[in-house]
Amino acid sequence: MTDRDDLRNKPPGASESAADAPITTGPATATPQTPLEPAPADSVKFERGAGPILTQESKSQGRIVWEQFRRHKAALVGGWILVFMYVSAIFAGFLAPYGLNEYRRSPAAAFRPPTQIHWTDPDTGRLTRPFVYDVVETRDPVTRQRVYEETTDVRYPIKFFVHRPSQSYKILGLFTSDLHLFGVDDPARVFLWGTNNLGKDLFSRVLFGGQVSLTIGILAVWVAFFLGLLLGGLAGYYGGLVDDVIMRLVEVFAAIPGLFLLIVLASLLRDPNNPLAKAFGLQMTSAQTFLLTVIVLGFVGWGGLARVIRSLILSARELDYAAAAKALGAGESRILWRHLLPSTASYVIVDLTLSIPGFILAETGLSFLGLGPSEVDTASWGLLLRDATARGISIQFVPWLLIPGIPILFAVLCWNLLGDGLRDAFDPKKRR
Amino acid sequence: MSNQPSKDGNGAATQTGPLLEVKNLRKYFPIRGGIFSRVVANVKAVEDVSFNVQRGEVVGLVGESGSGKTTVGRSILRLIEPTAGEVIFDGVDVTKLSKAHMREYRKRMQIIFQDPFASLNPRMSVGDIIGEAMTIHNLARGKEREQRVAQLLERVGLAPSHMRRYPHEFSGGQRQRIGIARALAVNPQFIVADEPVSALDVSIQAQVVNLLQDLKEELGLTLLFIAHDLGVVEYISDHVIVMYLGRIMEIAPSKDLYANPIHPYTEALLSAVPIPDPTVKRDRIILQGDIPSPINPPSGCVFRTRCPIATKECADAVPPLVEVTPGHFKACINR
Repeated sequence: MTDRDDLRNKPPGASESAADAPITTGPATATPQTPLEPAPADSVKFERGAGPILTQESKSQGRIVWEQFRRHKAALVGGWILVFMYVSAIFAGFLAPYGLNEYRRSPAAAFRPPTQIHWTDPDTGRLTRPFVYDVVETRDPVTRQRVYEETTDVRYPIKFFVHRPSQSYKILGLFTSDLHLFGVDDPARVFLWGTNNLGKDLFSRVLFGGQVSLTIGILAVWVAFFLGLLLGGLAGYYGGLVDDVIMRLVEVFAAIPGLFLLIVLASLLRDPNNPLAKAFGLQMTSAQTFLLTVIVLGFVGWGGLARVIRSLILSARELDYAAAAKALGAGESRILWRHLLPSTASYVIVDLTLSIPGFILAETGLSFLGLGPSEVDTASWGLLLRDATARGISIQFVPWLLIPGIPILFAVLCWNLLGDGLRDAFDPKKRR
Repeated sequence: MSNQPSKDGNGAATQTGPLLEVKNLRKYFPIRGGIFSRVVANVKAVEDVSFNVQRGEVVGLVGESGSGKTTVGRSILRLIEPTAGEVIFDGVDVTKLSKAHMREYRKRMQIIFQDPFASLNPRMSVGDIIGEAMTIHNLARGKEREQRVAQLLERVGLAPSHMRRYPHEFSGGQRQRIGIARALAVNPQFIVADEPVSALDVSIQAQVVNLLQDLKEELGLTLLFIAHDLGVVEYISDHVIVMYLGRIMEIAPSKDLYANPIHPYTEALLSAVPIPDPTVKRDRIILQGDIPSPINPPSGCVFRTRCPIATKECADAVPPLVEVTPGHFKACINR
């Protein structure tokens, strides 16, 4: 605290009026209301309007954190990009011109490069309504490479807010609609980011893939958090043998390479002979595999959180204000909920935020190896990247198949920035 | 008065005996080691401590770091469970009370902590910190609670409007006042002040000590004032207990102790108190070495390893506390 606070220290036994004196007399010259000094009960209101030193409103811990966070530009940018990504994942059905697994058998559109959108009229050279041409696929007679040629006789303008009854979707599982932000008339197609080996639109698939990849990190963190809070809390609160057993378990888990453990667990749980898989039914639905991936990720990731929570509770128990609450007669649950856990909240929030990108990456890795959510009717960014490894593909000819790596990069980066910002905002030593 | 428990206290407060009797208090902290966390040693923080605190008096408890004075204070309130011994508060041994019973006694005995930065929950407003006890014990709620918090704030020299603020907005001295107000919220009879001024600036120390003195007189409080500095204790205490390595070295009425210290450890402590007069020259007794490890304390008199007058006999037996003049006890065989 600053020196002026010491100056405000009244000598003990100072009279009531003396205690109130600085409030009313200090900045009084600037305030004409002084003669109308209100009763002490109202002095709070009065105090706010008065002068520069004692009048500033007192800030709660939450507001200080928010104000600090707002000054962290990188974290703010990261936060807004994440908001943008999550909103577009929620409205993927609306933003995507095509369905997740929509493709055409003939003429097929496999490995199409991003469709060229024309902004100018080729005849006049003037700006015009954006349009695309239909594309015809041929093979180069010598190299057998696919060659795409635009058939320039018909222009297909890009239309906005088109209804496509065959491709209806649900938003948050609640609202059904078939309205799409944009589209072109058949037989032309608009593939902003190209297509994969089956001719599925990559742009649409990245949007839908975000629904899985972005939520799986958050859900897995909750599973890990639940396990970590339960086991770490038990270890920290009871100590002794409970503590020893749980912490040795954490160490055993930590000793196994993470990706290896993920692969073993994911493949074990998918094994048809496994009783758990039998309970699910041999053919797991996409929702089940999704859930399974979340559980596997959370199960692998709880150890670190358990350690953090255990140590936080151990150190918080030694704080004088916990002792003070005990001396005042507070019960154990009151001490735990009002004093111990709130003091760990800031660390836990930061730790959770910073572990989300790890889960996103782990999910990507699992999906890339084919152990994540199945391809049947879901997509995730890792799964989309898997397309780039399909048989007989040279990536230099289909570089757009690497596009799903970009949202992964952004999601991981932004979660890290957000976590960094939160950590700095909660850290009183970094206050500016 | 602080006396051997066997003796009756003389003086003013004899209506119903001493307010607090500590009898043969021991506190060992186990040190665990090995794979199976066996107890490999004990830190003997408090070893066979007995003393009385009479109603309405201030007893100072002094000793250097590691002498066990804070452990004594916290054991009395059962913030630490004592290993052995009795803490008899107003005729009841609180160490044997159930949790529910203990809760009633927590309204009667309170504590003020040393570090005003660690003892206030940074996430609670001052009003909530002081008012929490009233909520816990259903003493007051709503407007009534707010009024009582305001009264308490004024009583400790702060403004009622401070109740909406948070601890980080206050200086060390102000925070200590908040801590005092929190202890007063349940109208206790007895307060353990655990080095309440050690963490404060010298300029603020006197203010807080004065405040405690005033409160004691106004509210008829009984205080156990823990400090490592005899100078602070001299001013406020009626009796002083000197501890070293978990044991009591000397108990004496305040004036008696300062005028006529008996134990060589007390002498050494007193010689370290600065005198605010540069012309006065005094022979300082500098103790050699550090306080020995409480895991493995010296045999016999624990002070003998640093004592200027130690003899062979000191190692043989723990010297008993002997009354020299009325109310003045010493644990030394050579004085």
